[in-house]
Amino acid sequence: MRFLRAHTRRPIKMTVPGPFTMSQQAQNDYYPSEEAAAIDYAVAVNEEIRDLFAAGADIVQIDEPYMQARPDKARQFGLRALNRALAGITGTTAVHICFGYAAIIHQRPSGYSFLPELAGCACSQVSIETAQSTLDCSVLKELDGKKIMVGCLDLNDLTVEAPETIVARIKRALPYVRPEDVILAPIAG
Amino acid sequence: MKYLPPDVALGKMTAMVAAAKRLRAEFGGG
Repeated sequence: MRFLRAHTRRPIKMTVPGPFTMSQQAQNDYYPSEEAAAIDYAVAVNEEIRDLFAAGADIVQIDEPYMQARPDKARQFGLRALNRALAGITGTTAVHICFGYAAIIHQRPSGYSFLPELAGCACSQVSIETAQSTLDCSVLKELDGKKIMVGCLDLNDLTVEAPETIVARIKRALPYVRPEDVILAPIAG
Repeated sequence: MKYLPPDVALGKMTAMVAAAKRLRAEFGGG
């Protein structure tokens, strides 16, 4: 981060793995529960985020794809772990959820199983994919007050989209998100 | 994105930037 900061004046964004996702990916042979593991991951992520901002990051994004993959557990303790990772952080932060790498997972549901819940997270930005899933964007009205990073590229299609195709995808979100709160984004991976 | 051929990835990103410019022209913003 310090190297990058020394070589550009442009905004720098860094991503970190989310504590809930790490708790779902790792084998737990130590903590009394998955939640306890997630909270301890969150403490470590919090320290990492603080270091990244101190070193010059402008935005830090927490990737939490397993909140979509395991929504029931996410409802139990995912948001608590995420907000622990964000405790005391004053810089701009985002949380990203998705349906997995397009090159690996080709079939997408038309809606997230865990998304409105992110209204309760401390991040100011929520990053989602909409293109490949043709997401029903009405769910975005539940995230009023957040800036929405609207994933607008279909990474399962090797055809390069025309700009008007991407414009049309973004406009699907505009009935539910103020234009000034929309950030165009490719999507994960 | 990392699984796409580099020219496809660059093409998609370039198209996204063009789309962003069109949207800014229509709705404002920076």
